[in-house]
Amino acid sequence: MRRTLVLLGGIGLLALLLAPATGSASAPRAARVRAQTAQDTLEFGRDLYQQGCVSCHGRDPNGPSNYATVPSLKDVGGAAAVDWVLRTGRMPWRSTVGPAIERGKPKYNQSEIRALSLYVGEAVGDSDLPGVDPGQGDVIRGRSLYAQACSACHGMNGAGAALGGANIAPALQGVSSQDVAEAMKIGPGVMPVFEGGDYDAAGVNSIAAYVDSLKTGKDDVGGAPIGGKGPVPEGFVAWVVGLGVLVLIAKRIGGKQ
Amino acid sequence: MSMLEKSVKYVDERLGAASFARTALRKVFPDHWSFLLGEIALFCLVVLIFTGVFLTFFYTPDARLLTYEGAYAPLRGQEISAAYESTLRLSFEVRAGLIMRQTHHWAALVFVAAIVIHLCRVFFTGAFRRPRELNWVIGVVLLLLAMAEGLTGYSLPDDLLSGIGLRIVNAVVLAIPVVGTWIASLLFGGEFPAPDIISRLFVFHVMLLPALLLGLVGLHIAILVLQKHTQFPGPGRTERNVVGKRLWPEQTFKSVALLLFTTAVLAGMGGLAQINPVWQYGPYEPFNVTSPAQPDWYIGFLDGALRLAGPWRFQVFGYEISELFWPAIVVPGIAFGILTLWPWLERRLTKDRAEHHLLDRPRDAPMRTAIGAAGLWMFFVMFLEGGNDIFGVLLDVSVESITRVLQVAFVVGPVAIGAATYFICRSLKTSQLHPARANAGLSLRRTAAGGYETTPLDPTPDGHADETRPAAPVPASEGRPSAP
Amino acid sequence: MDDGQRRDRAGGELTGEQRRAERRIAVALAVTTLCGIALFVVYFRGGQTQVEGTLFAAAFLSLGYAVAVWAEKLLDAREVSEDRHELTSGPAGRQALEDALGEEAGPVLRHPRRSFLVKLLAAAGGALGLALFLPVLSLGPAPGRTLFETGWRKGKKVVDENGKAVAFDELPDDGYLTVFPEGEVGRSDSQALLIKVPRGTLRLPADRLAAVPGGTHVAYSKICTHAGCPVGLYRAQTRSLICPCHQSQFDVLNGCKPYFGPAAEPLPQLPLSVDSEGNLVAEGDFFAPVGPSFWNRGRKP
Repeated sequence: MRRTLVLLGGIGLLALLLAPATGSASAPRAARVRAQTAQDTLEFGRDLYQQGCVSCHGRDPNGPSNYATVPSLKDVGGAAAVDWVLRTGRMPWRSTVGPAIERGKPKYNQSEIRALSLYVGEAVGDSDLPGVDPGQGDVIRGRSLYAQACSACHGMNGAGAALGGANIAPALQGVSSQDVAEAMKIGPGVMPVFEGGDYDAAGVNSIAAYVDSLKTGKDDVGGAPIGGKGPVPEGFVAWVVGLGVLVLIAKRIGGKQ
Repeated sequence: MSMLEKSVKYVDERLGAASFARTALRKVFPDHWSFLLGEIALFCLVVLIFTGVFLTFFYTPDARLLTYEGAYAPLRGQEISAAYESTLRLSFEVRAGLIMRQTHHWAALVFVAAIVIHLCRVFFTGAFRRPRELNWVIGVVLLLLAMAEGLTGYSLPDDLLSGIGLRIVNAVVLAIPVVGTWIASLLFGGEFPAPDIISRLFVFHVMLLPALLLGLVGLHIAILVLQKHTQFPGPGRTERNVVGKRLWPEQTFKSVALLLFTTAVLAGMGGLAQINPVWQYGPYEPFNVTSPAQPDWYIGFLDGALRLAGPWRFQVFGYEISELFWPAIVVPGIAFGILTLWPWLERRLTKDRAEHHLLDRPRDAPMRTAIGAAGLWMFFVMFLEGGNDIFGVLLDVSVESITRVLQVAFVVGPVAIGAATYFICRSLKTSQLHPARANAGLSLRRTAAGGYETTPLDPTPDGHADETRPAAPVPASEGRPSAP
Repeated sequence: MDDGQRRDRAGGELTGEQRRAERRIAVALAVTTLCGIALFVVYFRGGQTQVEGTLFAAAFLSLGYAVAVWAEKLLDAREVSEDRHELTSGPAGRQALEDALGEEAGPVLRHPRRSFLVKLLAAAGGALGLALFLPVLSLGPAPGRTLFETGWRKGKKVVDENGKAVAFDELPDDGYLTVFPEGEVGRSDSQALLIKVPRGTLRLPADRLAAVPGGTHVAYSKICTHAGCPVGLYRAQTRSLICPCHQSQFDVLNGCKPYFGPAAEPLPQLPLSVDSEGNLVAEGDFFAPVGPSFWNRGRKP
């Protein structure tokens, strides 16, 4: 009994000592952020911006960036763009070359992202963060809108495709409805803007509902989807698995003269 | 008399079949595993017919629109063609429908692959030489028929992906000089996307092409039996005999086993690996498109050719030669032309007009093997380019880079590959080594005449040389140590 | 001989290896049987594709295995040799054929006016033979002008895929839309892309620029001039279109001229203007025939 208590106590002490290392460096600050007002959020956002974004994007989000290859934040889509790019971990920029395409682990937590989005949004005059509710969407209309607007680049089954140059339309299977709504509003990278007309709130909800249906894999009733990229991987499987196995069987059955 | 004896007597008294059957069943067929590749293709065809007939009972070859009220929720209430609707119904609501459909499609892919590998075996061993030139031509025609069957077949569901493919077929037909616009209009029944095309493809796929296919397969096998199968050189094997096992019982049992194994592999793939999920692609609308967009692999090399080619459109006295003309008509025309006429081309090059029943090892005909390797390389490059956007994402390289590299590979590669293959063949021919087995070295002996002769050493099971057991001796006239 | 004697004729005892083979065959056949029965169960309970596939594969695999083991271990398999026969009938055989053909048709073939009759026969065969192909022409209409014309006419309203008229101020910056002539939504040859680009960025000759309302709303045919696929991939940042089929790339600001890939001709532009209600309307058909090349594309009938 005594040994158990000592063991538990030791583990508890270890946990206490190691806890600060497991949270982000700003974990203690996050606790304070929750209690702040809107003005404090903007200031918090500005502080974060000064720390993490100024070196490339320039002192003023509404002004020019510091490098020709870095877009100014003036017209990239405002708060929605910052929210999207930080939540999906595409920013801060990790790659050594090319645009920030790859999703990654987000560096900032929820409240930091909120603060940064609001700050930049207020600075450039576009604080609109689109709301989305796929539950309110109609998956049938969503499929039709998706075929109209999205399938050319992202594929009807959301598998994504190459777009020439260094550009890729990413696969949509791991994507949240918020990502869909924001991307349509911003038009990130080479993606066009889809706003207004068919792409109003109801349209966005419906498209999000359809994208959600792609993620479950429930309609892969035929078996393993082999990447969902169509006849090229299917042909590969036909040769390697289909013909490959049969040739091995033929070698076993036939003679070796 | 037993039942069996009574039945045989009954048939024999009416058809005189007993002695014919006896001769047939006693026929000798050589026993090498590579002679089974054509059988794999044949058994894929059996599976295709069996599953295909089932599908025909459920498929509606009609482009007329109706409203979908079936099991796939995202399409409910949408206007789709009867052809597409019947495919969805078959996939979701007919018991065993999806496995039959998928097995049919996998069997088609493996069918053409088996034909290609069988063709390679026949080519690289010189089995097309006299007296088998006619059977070679029939074989090439069978390959083209199989490709046509596949193209017409996967276009039947009228889904977005295959519809895009049909649009490209239409463009290729339009590119035929002088008569292209007429042929396109007659074939499709008007300007694209003429709705008649679906029912016409059905006629080709279910009636015309299978009739030709089965007839030619029958002829192909009949000629093979009449001329007797070729065989590799070896002890007891000459140009005037066939050494192997009899049709009954040995070869029949092996073939039946191969048929069963082929069915097993295809059925397994049909149930476990999803292929052509047409419900995800959606119905064909001529103004929609999906990425990536490729046809089935056996047409994929043509798609790759289209991507490889440049914007080479020319005006000739006010008439246009389309940029599709070169990759879609000229290149395949030349390629399949050379392939079809190869027995005569080779005869012209080698001046060999003799009858051949003994096969070459690929190394024994370095020129043929080199040209074949170069040709295979060109097809391979076209295939890779056909998937350039998929490989681009996979390798994190732009499609432009892949295209440029493969354009160079298409032109430079065949020369390099051909030359390398030629010299490898020559070297293997001299050294008599097996290209895939461990090289255990050569044994060098002084002959009585004072010269030297080398013998390759047979590696022992643990990979080391066994000086007491040399392999096939090198002919004395070539008794020089070969370059390793 | 009765059945019992025949069975024993093959030999007496089986070797140990053959007995083991027999056991393996028995197990394999049992597996096949069980899978077969399981398939009945699965089917009558509604079916499931992956289970069906596994059971079919297992059943055929074990049956094939049984036959293969039988072939390898239980057959009295020997290598035998058979002589090839001469494939040719020889000159004598061919001569006999010639004689047979010549014999029966003697008087006809020796007719002095044979060559005249044969020529007449050739003409008859030619005319009738060609006539037999006439029904093929019923398969489709003459190409005529269909490849040169689409559904667009001067004054036709520009509508989206749902048939709704497109207003001039509707598109966002860098937005794009697939449009059709009013009343012909979905007509394949008329599909067009309406793209909004920033004012002043288009590099078109004056007469083409005049067909771009506001200098911002430009429309091109969506049908790729290479092989006809819809060029639906618009890259807003670089203002270029890429066709998914063969990666032809078109520069929207420069009249959709192709700058990479196998396409040779620009996407034809659709002239637009704005009507009194603020909706976009066409000013005529596309400036060039849409879609892929064909023989007489340069010679409109």
